[in-house]
Amino acid sequence: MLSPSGPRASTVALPVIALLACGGVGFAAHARGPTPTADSPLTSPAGTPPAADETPTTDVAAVPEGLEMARLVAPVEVEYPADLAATDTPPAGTVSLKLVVRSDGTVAEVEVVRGLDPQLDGLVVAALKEARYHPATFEGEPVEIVVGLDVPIAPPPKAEPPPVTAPLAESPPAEPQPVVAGPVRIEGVVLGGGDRQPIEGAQILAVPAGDAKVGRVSHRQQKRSAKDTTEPAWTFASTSAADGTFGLTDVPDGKVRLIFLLPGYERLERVVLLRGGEVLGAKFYLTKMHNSPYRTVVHTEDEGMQEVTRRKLSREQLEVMPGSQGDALKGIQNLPGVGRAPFGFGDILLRGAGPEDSATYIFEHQVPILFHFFGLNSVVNTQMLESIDVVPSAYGSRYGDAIGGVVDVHVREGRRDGYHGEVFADFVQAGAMVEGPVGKGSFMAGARRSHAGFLLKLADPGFTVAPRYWDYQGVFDHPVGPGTLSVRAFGSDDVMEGVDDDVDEKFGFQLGFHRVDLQYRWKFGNWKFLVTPGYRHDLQDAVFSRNDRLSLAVDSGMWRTEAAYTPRDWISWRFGTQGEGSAYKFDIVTTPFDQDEDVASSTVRARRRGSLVSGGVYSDVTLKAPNGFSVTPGVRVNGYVHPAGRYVVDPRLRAQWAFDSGTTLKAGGGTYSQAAAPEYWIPDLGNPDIHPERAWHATGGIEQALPADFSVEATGFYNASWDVARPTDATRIVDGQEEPINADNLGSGRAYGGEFLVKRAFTRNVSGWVGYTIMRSEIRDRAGEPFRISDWDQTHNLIVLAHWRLPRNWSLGARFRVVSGIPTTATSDGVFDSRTGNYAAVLGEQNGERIAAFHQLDLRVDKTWTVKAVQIAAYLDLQNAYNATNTEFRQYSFDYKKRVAVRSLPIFPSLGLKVKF
Amino acid sequence: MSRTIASFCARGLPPLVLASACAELPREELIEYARPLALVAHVTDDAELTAPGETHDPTLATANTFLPADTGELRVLIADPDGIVDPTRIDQDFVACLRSPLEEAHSCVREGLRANASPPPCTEVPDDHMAPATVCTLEMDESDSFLFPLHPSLAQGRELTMGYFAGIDRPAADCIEVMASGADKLPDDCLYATHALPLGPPDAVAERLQALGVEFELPEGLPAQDRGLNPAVSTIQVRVGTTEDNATPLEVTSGQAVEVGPGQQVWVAVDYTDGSEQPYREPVAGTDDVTELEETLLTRWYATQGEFDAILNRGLLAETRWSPDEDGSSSLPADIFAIGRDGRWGGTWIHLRIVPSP
Repeated sequence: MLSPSGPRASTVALPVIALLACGGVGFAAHARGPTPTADSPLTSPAGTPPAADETPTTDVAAVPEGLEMARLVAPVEVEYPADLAATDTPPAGTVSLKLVVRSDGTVAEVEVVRGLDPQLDGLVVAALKEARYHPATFEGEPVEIVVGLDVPIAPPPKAEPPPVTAPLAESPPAEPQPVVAGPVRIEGVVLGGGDRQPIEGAQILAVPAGDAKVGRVSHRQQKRSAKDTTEPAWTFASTSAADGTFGLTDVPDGKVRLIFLLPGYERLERVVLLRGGEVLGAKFYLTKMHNSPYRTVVHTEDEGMQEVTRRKLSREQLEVMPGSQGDALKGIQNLPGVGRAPFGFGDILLRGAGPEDSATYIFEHQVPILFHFFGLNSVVNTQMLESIDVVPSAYGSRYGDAIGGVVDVHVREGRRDGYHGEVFADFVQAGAMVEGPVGKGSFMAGARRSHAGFLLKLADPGFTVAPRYWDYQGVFDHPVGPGTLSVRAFGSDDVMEGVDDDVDEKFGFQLGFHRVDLQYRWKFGNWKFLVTPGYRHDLQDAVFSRNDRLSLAVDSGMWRTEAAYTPRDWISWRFGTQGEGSAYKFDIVTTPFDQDEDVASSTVRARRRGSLVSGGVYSDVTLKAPNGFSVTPGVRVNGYVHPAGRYVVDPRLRAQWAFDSGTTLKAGGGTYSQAAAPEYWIPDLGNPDIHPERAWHATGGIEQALPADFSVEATGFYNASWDVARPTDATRIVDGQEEPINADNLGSGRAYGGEFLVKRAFTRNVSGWVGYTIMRSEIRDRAGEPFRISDWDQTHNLIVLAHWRLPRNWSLGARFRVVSGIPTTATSDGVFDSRTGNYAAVLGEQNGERIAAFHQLDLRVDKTWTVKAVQIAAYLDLQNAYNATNTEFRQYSFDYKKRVAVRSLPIFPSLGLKVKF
Repeated sequence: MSRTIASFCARGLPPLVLASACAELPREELIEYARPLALVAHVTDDAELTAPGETHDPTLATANTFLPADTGELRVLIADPDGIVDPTRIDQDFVACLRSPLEEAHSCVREGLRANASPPPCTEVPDDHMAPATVCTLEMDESDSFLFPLHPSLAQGRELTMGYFAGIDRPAADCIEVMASGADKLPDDCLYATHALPLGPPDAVAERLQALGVEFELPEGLPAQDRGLNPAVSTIQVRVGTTEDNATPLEVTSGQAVEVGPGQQVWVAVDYTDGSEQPYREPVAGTDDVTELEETLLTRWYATQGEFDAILNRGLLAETRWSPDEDGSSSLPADIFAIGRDGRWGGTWIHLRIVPSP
């Protein structure tokens, strides 16, 4: 009988930076697992003596505080095969293995590090795959971890029937390898490939290299030499210290093979040449494996109150999502409740609400522009993001000015573990970023510029539209007094110019913003405070045609102040203010709603200067009962101070009940408001008397955590809006003259449906989710009219997303989507308008038809190479892999008598390259 | 204010995205079936501009803003792949309606016809019946002249909106009947267009109504206005050759034939008379302000075959190059049209017949 020992040597040198980077990542709200025991994880259970011939391969000195190791639930036994036992020299010795103990206690990725006999190795591996552990925990939360095992194997006595070896169990932690006294011949530093961080606990072995070539030993050569079972003539060993340094003493002259071992990192072998009297000094870089134990996700609760539906996506997760070209904000379309934007644009469509009805926050303030032209990329470098929260409706009182949902983008702080950076390029853009420490703080700076227009011109010199954009980001954080002062600066600029061949006139478009935020956060006892003022300059110049042009400049000051008080574990209270004041000036020449833009006499010119002030005061209290029930009542008073002079009180309530079984029930709702879009209230074009649009939301759902990091979730929602601004052809008599009103607040809408999500956490080698949304979004222009389908209705939306981590730092992703077609209004004929020479469409029932359903498969392959201090990452993102012909819109002939389908992108490969240091 | 930028950003970009799909659709400038290209109305009894009974001369400016009880003439240009459609094949009717400011012209006509499939002549409609979606027929005599109906309520609306119905080898009444029946699509041999007869200037309207004994109070705030004029063509210059340098310049008149040899192209330049882009004034809604504006002439080019360099020109000089189809002069004759519009219902056109040189 064989029995593996327990986790012999923990491998958990979790650096602080890893914890920071992983904080809040993944599906924190849904992760549950077995309750960890209080037993010391690093001592062997009583009565299970360690194997006498155990050879430690790792060091435990770096086990962080708060980590409890995984422990076997029960010994695993394997019978020694009778045929082997019957041989003259039955194999005996140790099988060294490495395996992953998942956060649910199951075992994965069992790998034989050093085998004894193929048959025996196979039996041990098979047995271990069925083993069950009490999972390791970090600060009480289950985490995934890699352990090394040495399984001593002895054949049964010849005279006796098999099996037999005494059960072996967990061994005590190994001591660090002592450094042998004597002259140092090799001294070096072990660093992380790509990030150049010192690696502690790596074991370095020196053995004779024979006639091997000096230099790095390839993986193939390593495998070949592993088959050589000859004991080396001599072996010297050392272990890297906290600063990564190590020394090898008494090593003889000649060629020496240095072997670097550390679980979670690729094995490194180098052959060096030692000459008489020389001391060799060098840096050695270890490459982290994708399936590293350091991918451990520490599940944490957000600082803020829980939302009923808050789906958090980590940067790591967003970066590798197929179809989004590594852009984080485009990746949120893969979540249930988030609609598909046509052409791969970045419009955010949350639970049937239009993009103008949802708000996006970056660093505590709303952003007016989220994407560059056509949604090619968002305006913030994904590398600088920490995570993205998507709250599709029924959000808390901390947010406002949106009757749809909220997207909150969190920017991370710069790294303090040395200077790092990256340069990257793909078919659309190129850029660079650097980060590093500044005193006790850190900085991060980056910039990107598009080259798509340049490439298009190279491909086709006749191409007359040349879009280009650039953006920049700067982040600085530094401790000041009792808190941290942060500065965020970012901006973007998009320019597109072209020539309208038909009229031989130029058209152009420029859109940009520059924004600087300050933030100061500090703690005082049970209080937390936040103050963050900001300034933003928006500009837009556009010439769509000679008679449709716009010049707009806006200077805005923004602020948020917040105090949070947590006197007891069961109660917390938050109070804050948030707002924005803007001074704007614009010059618009345009055409009223029903007229054609080509005719000068029909244009309206409006030049205005003005100001807007709006804001909100909010507060909420969270009460937590010991049985897992919590409730958060809140209220937000929105002031549309100037020029509307209107105030709205929005009460909100959220509650959840988390059970020990891993089940969580959630419900919430409230009222919401937002200022109408400017075209509805700008004098001349709209109606200055337009007041804020309103909505109420109700949502409820259930989540269930399952073994193996699976979870399921079902959510229902109902949103109703009223006082929605709509264009109108109604008129009023002013001074005896009949004048158009242009817009009124008589519109209303509703959206309702359900969302279903089955997912597996991204911490797994195979992860992903299946999300399905069924919903209906309807609007009407007047009370009493029947509701009609809104532009944003997507009745069915199915997304299957999967990601595989493969050996050798390869990964593969796939996304398949089936979405209901976009609602459309049939056009049956055209009417010749003799004033303009154009045809006006004769429209059928508004959104009375639907374009055919959309379906598409996107694939993505990522590969990372580590070359000493540099990491090279490349990806191939293949959109529309089977070249589906999806219709996005219908385009009509000039007289509306014929039409063609405007298709989405055909099969489209996008190649990206990134070099990191 | 965050939504301000995002909202404006959305404007104008979709057309650029969709432009790529247009290649599969019929070209607007190519006349592949019978269709109206222009409708132009002018006042025929304006002694200042046109002597009564005088035929239209495109080189002369004509008034296109009417006063109650004016007489006018409507000219309609309908073309098909063979050129201008023989007027004897066309039966036409005008249905007039008074629409509210933001109502679509087509909607006014359609809804009015659905409410009253047999509208009375406009001259017989009582004043108080000229409410939105009330339709009447504008009766023409044989020379396509009409009497601008006398309705004081028209002065409130500043224009009389019309639906133009024409049947090719069929009665126009059939087409009206189809629309009145509620159908959104007319038969292919029914042509349908909207046009409007602007009313003004305001002070002249008041004076005319008072002279005719009609009680009328001029609304306040209407700026003084000159009478609107149709643009007029001064010269048409044509150059024919294989390159622009070796082309021979010719001055031609509308309707004239131009001979083109194999491999040759035609450069056409249309000069409008000074004053064809009139200054005018618009009241600023909700204020006492008046915006000073100037018309911009927009010229659209059409042809029964071939290709243009530019199909749209702005300003007093319109020019383009026309190239025949690849099979060259063998496919001739062809017809070229340039339609000039000032955007305030003023218009004119020229027509050239391209024939193969002997």
